[in-house]
Amino acid sequence: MRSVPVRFLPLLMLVASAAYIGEGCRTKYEEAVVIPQNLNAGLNVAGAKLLFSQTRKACEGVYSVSDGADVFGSEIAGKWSYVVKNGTDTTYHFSLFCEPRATYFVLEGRQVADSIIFIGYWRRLVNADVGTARFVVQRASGAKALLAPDCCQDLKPGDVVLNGLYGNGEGERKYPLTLSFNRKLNPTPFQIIAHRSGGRTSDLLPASENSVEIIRLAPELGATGVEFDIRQTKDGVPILYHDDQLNLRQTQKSGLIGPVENYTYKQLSSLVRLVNGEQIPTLEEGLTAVIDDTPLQTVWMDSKLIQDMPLIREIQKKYIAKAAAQGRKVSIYIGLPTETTLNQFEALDDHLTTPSLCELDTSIARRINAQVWAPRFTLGDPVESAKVMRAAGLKVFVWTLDVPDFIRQFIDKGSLDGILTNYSPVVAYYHYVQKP
Amino acid sequence: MSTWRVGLLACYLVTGLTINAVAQDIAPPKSTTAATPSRQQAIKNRARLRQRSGYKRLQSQAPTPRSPGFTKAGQLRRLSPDQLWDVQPDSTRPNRGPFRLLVYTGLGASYYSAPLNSPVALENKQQLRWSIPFSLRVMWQTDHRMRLGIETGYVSMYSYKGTRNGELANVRVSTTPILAVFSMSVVKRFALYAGTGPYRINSNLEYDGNTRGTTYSLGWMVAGTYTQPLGRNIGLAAELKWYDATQTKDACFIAQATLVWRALTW
Amino acid sequence: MIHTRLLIIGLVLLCTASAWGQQQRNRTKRTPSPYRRAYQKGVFVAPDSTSPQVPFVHFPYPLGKGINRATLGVTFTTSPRDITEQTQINVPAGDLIVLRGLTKNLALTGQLKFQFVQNNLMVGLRRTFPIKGRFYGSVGAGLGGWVGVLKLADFNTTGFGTMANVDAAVGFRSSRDLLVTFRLETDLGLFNRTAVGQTVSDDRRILNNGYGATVTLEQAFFGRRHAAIGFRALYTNFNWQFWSLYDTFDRNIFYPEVFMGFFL
Repeated sequence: MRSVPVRFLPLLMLVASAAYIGEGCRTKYEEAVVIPQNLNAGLNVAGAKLLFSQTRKACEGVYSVSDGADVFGSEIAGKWSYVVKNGTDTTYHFSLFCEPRATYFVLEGRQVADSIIFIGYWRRLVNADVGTARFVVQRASGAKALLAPDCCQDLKPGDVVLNGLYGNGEGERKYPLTLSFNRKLNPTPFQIIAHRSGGRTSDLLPASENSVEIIRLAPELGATGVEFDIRQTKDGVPILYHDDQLNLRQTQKSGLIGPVENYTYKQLSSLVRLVNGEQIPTLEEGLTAVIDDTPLQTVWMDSKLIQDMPLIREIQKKYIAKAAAQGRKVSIYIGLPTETTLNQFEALDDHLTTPSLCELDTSIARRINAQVWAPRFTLGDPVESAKVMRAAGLKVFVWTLDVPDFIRQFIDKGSLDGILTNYSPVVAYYHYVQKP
Repeated sequence: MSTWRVGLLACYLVTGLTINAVAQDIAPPKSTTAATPSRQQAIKNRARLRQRSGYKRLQSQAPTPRSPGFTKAGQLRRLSPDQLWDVQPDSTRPNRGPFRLLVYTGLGASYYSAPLNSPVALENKQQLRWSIPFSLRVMWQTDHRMRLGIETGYVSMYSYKGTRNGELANVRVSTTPILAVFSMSVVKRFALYAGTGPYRINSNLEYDGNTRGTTYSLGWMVAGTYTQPLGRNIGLAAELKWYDATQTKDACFIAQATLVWRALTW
Repeated sequence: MIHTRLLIIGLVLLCTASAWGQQQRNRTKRTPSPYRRAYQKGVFVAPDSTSPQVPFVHFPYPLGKGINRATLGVTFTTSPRDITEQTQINVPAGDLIVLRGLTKNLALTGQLKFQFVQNNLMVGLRRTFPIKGRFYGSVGAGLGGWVGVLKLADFNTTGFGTMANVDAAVGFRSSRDLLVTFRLETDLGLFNRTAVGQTVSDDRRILNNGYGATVTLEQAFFGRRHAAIGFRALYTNFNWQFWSLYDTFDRNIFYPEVFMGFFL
């Protein structure tokens, strides 16, 4: 007699198939990567002082890596950013961008006695690798120059050396990483625009995509701009949300399903939370965060599904004025990805003077007097078209470019004014280390 | 969701079931219409041969085209136990059937077993995970080991309510599965079922108006039944079932009484 | 939309395969089987008590020198939501599997998965050996590549790559009409080149792409037709079917596959 288990193998196989069909992926990488938290202890020591703005500025540059080059690459680009919390609490972060596997460091710096200390975490954006790092710039290794009141005239290679140790996960920092100042960052204007308001949920970031929190995180990842996905609720409130449905990819389970457009803002704000617990932000909350809380310079408002284009235009006007009033240079573009949104946009009386970003054909971009033409990267580097468009006064951004090899080549060809990416640290690295 | 996924799955199921349905409809060869012994007869023959053989393993040469399975006298050769094991009727035999159409209707209790955290913003929260599900299944009993069929029904999976700024919010979520089901009889009267397909998930929100939502979530199910015959064509089954809509991470456990009706035999 | 076209191609392929399977009902007449009377009595007498009654391409059983076996069918896989997010691309791939006996225990294997705009071909060898009773085993290795040309709508991309795999299989002859095969495999990515327009990206790293486990049933399907159906769980960080999505995740992603092949 055949044994019962063998007899039921086909059925077991079907059960297994049924169980996994539709499951897709995300079996293991379900949660956001946990960033090590025990970092501030190293900064809050007696006598620690915040760094002067000129010191921070002088730290920015391309560093050569001696110890640790096998893990973080031979060069690292360092850039400062800030984030404002609760309207008044400003924190400065020194971000380091590396070539391998979209690695970045987010550090905070203090002056302790005659040295400078940087402490923070590192992460690889393509996987879940994370760890901590601590650097010291001693008096003789450049702290004297950096902390001088007249800092800093042209630093020469080797003038500043960051001696550091890094560790994996929450483990002890025991691996050496030494950075030596090499040159200044590439000064060419270039926009590093972070997709989904800062980054994708699938990259396991600590904040959900299209949340106010990810907008505040974007500059630390190297972004100089963000792309919002705009939809409108049933009662017409413009919100930041990407997918055409409320789903578990973006939100926690709430029992509410179907298109976000079917729900009022009151319903969404009361009952729906993004995967990391944030509220779905309104467009105005997003723009407020950009202008008040970050140094971001570009906002690409991608019109996913808009019913009321005049309202979007009014909000755009309001926040351009708000940024100008604060002395901030923030370009806010209405993104036009489809014919439908293009028609809505062209129905605006002042569309020819409205800052817009056109993803459609070059002739359409010129017809509506768009300020930016944005082709998809899968068409290849638009060198020739970009030349024509730039000669006509338009900027050229490509979307959504994540492959490091392509990013490097697109930047090297110099035909673009910006790149929309899920990997801001990679674009930041290739842009900043490029020699002008 | 994916209209694509639902569409493709529907095409896949329709095509697959059509192939099977057409394929089964093969008329027996003319030469075999007469005097085909029943399966019981074949089993009896087998038992008789095994009993008569009286040895552990037959060492005689295996039948080959030059030495066929019959003796010169036209009798079937005695076969080894291994050969006997192999001579069971299977799907390749030309005389197919019988085929049956079985209809199952069930009613019982369900418990929503997936994690459920009602929104933090609500106060005085109350959750309900129990409900009374209804299911309807039609199975085609082939002469293969496996039966094929479809299942649908209705399960009110969960509901919760609470207040927000003094205003009551009430959310109800239910599902209607549309599943292709495979089944196999384990031992007499006991059968296992496994299926896959889309679950139509419905939600109803009463807060700041009334909003309904619908989506499709691909998933799977497993079930087991014990059937007690009540008559020639009717029986009552105790059924335990697990529904899992994976895309929306909804799952529920169901215990129900199922009426089994042998609707057609051919 | 590209997806629509691919979907239509897939469905046409599926229907063609099904129709092809159906048309075999009126085959050319064969010489009468010496076991015909045994059939008529409702019992089945096999010529050899140990060999499988059904043809096989997955089952690790010796295939005689010069004997060919082939299946043609389709493979379905779901698109990984980490990469495709809300867009679900479920396009079946045509699947041709060929097995040719070189010696008693050594066979040449070939598998072509085709979606026309992107295709994958693997060629390899497998060595079979009996384990015990009705259990058999095999080890095999293959070398092959994929090629894709996607020049539609917003895409101006091409790509190709080479890959290798190593597998081990255990087969159980449940009955003469049902062969169950369990196979484990590991995939190596040797070289990938993709291009968007004139911009080319090469990946020369030799990477362990991932692992796969497959359960296959080879059995009678209907009439005299036989089929192989199976389920494959692939856990990999590169799947040729999704090369054009430029997944950048450095982590393995789960791809479930269901396949069905009809013996030619």
